Amino acid sequence: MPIPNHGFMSTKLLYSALLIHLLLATAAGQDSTSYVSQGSFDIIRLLNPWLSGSNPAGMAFNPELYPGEMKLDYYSEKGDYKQVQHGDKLNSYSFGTRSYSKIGNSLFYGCFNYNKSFEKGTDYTNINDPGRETPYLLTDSIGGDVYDRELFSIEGKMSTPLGHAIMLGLAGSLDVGLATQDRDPRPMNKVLKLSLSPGLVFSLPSIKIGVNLLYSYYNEDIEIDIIEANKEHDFFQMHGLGTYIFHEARSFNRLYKQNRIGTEGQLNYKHGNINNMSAIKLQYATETADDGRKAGNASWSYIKNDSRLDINSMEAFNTTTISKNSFIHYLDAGLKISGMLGTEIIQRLETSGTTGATNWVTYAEEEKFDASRLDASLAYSLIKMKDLYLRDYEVGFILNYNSYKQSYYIPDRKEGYANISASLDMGRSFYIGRQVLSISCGLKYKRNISASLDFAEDSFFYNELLLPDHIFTTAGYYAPSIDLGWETEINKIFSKYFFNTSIDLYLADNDRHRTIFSFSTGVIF
Amino acid sequence: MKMKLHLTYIAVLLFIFTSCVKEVADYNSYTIELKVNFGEEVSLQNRDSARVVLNNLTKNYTHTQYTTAEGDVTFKNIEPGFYSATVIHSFGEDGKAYYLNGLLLLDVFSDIIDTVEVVISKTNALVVKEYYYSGCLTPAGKQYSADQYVEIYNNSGLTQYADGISVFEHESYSLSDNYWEFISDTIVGRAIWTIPGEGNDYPILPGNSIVIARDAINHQDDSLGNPLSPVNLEYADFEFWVETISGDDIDGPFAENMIEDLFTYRGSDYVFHTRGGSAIAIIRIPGNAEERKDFINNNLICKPDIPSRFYGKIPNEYVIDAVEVTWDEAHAIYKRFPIELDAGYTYVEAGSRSGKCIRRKVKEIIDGRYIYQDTNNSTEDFLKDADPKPWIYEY
Repeated sequence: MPIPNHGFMSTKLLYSALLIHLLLATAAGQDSTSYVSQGSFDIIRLLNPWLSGSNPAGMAFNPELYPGEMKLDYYSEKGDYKQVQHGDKLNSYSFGTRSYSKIGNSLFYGCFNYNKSFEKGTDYTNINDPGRETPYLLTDSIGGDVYDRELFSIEGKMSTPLGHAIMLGLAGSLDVGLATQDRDPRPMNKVLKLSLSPGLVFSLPSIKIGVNLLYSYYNEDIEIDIIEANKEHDFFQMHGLGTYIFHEARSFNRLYKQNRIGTEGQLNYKHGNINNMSAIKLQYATETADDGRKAGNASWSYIKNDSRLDINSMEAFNTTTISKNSFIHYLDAGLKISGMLGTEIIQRLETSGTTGATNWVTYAEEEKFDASRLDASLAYSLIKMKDLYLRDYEVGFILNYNSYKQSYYIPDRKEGYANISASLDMGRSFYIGRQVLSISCGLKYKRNISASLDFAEDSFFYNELLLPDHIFTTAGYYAPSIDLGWETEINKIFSKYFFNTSIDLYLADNDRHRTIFSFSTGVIF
Repeated sequence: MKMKLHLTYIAVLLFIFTSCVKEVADYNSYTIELKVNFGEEVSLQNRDSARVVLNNLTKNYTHTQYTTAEGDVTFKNIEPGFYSATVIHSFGEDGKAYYLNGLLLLDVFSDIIDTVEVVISKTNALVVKEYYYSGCLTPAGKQYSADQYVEIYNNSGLTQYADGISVFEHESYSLSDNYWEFISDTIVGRAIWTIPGEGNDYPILPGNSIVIARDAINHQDDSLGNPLSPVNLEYADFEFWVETISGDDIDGPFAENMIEDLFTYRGSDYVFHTRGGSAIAIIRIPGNAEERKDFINNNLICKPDIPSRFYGKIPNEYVIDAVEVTWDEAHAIYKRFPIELDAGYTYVEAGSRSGKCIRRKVKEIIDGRYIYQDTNNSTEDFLKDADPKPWIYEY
């Protein structure tokens, strides 16, 4: 019997988001509809490097283009080139709308998205996103599950001038979702993510300096039930690199809570046709995993602290845009370094002799896991514009290097790898009367340059999880892709109708493959 | 030159940021030095190479070392946590077999130097051969545990009498520390059921056993039973029968009813914890039925928070055989019986409702008579997921 997915908050959230969105769009008027196209949001990003950073105040430097979009998306993935805990097949349907608006001197951006997806063939996972970087996963020994997910996202940003040379910005987003499985053991994951970021930009004649603060909160509340009468399952509280504590139970509850704080500083230099922007972002996050079980058939019914994960990260990027005649040269260099430190909390359930109260008593907090990741990228694009905000053609390439190391101590286990990848993309838009046809194609290539998995034991999780995932992350691939878009003007409330479809085919050198298909259709206003 | 300075500056910045971001675990590892105290009864030549098993009770893995001739053993690079150190040793002398057991629970959060005391187990004439507590499922998938039983076997070459032998259930379900640890040389129980008889009424011949059933019926055929039950207990020797006005407990026609001497949580039926909470012992309280009842009534004890609930105190010396059954490895930390009664612990690994039991291992067969292993260490002595086979003796 599947657990009913009630789609909580759906009606209220949907109506509220649409109302806000349409109010903003209507209030702003539509002065620039003739320029808007499918690529408008990308063009804005290209012309305003502040949008590559996280400071919402930088939105003030957007070009005079206020596009809006409302669309339906279908997205699918299929194939065996994947991580073990991801599904063999993913079908995702979404409705989304977003727009920029200007009211007085203030600029607004709003976005709403509703997504429903079915991920089939997920193995051993009880958490909503097993790809979320944490060693403290919650797994079972059952494969072939289906994850049914429903996610609502709202995002809002505003930027307003404070006097002559200061811009104030505020950004916020809220994601709420529910994910369920329909085979025992059946987790129900309630996911919430809240982000807030206030920022300032000080504008001088040719230099702009910005700073913003970042705060986000993530919460995943997992309640696992077993519907089959008198049946128990094993639950594994993973601690990194195949280490775990396990319990056999009829139900299990876990709560992840993550608080993240950070700041980003930006420096923008603009002179003539050169627009250069540098930014550095520092973030710290701490995430706890607590286990609590229901009474009744449970081994205990009190909250046990399982682990804590501390994450530090530094991100830096520099983008340069050079506009010359109708050409734009875009150069971007980015670097992200992050480190994780995992702490296991050793507790014992004890009863106080005087009061009879039973509690988990902490004996030690032990640092047992660490990991570091480095991502570096270099990108260049040449864009030929047809008009001020309309693309003619584009050629670009990206080089990427990433490395990852993780260690568990006693028993000592290590994994490390480094990959390089490159991609080449080119696209062109054909303007045929009131219609535009856009075609682009690309090729991605990935190659592993080093890999090690130092692991002595031959265990279930080594064979079923660690080793296949290691092979996946270190496998090279070729990935050709093709993208086709069409749009036509409609002289109604909306400016244009469009559809877009793309296919990416990943051909890995371990004889595995994965096909990604997407289709979008909607209106631009 | 300017470019070079620029690159150096970037490199220095990168190094600083990388150093700040990178985290390295500052983990602890400890050394455990144990001395096994064999006592004066064990000669020097019999002390060498005793097996010491260090078990991480939370993560369920073990390290094994063997003692030096001095009885020393060292475990290095041990992660912090809760451990048990078990000593298992045997030797033969003067044509007799001796079994040594020792157990020490260790909270390892620093280097440890400690001593493990060992006891030489006495071989009991009567032992628990099978203990089936897990229950099973009905065809409708419902829980069924009325087929629980305890089988007691005569492991000696002489006839033993079951009269006055009691089945004792420990008070604790092994969910937290044993509350009664402060009382030395005594175990505290929630139930004591005794086999009736005047002393010679119920003989158990060498190599034979008696079965004490929760409900003495043919569980596989009876309309009140469960066709998926692994056992037919219609001809069980004894039965835990709870006399109530409602008459809810089934009274099997062929089994003698046990005497209810103590039943703290009295209900309409007597049930062993199906997940392994019920650690049991077979005991013999000296004297006749009246004296036994007096002894129990004069040795009741309660917890301060519930002064109206009484449990029974039994001296260790009255215990014939004890089986430290627990839920799983993680719950072994809450051991209840002292090592002189049971140096180890065991459980049905397949879990509750699995239809499996724990069964004592066969040591040898002498003149057609099965001799079951009795080293006083349940970890060593019992098979974990055996099919229940009352009255059947086999490897």
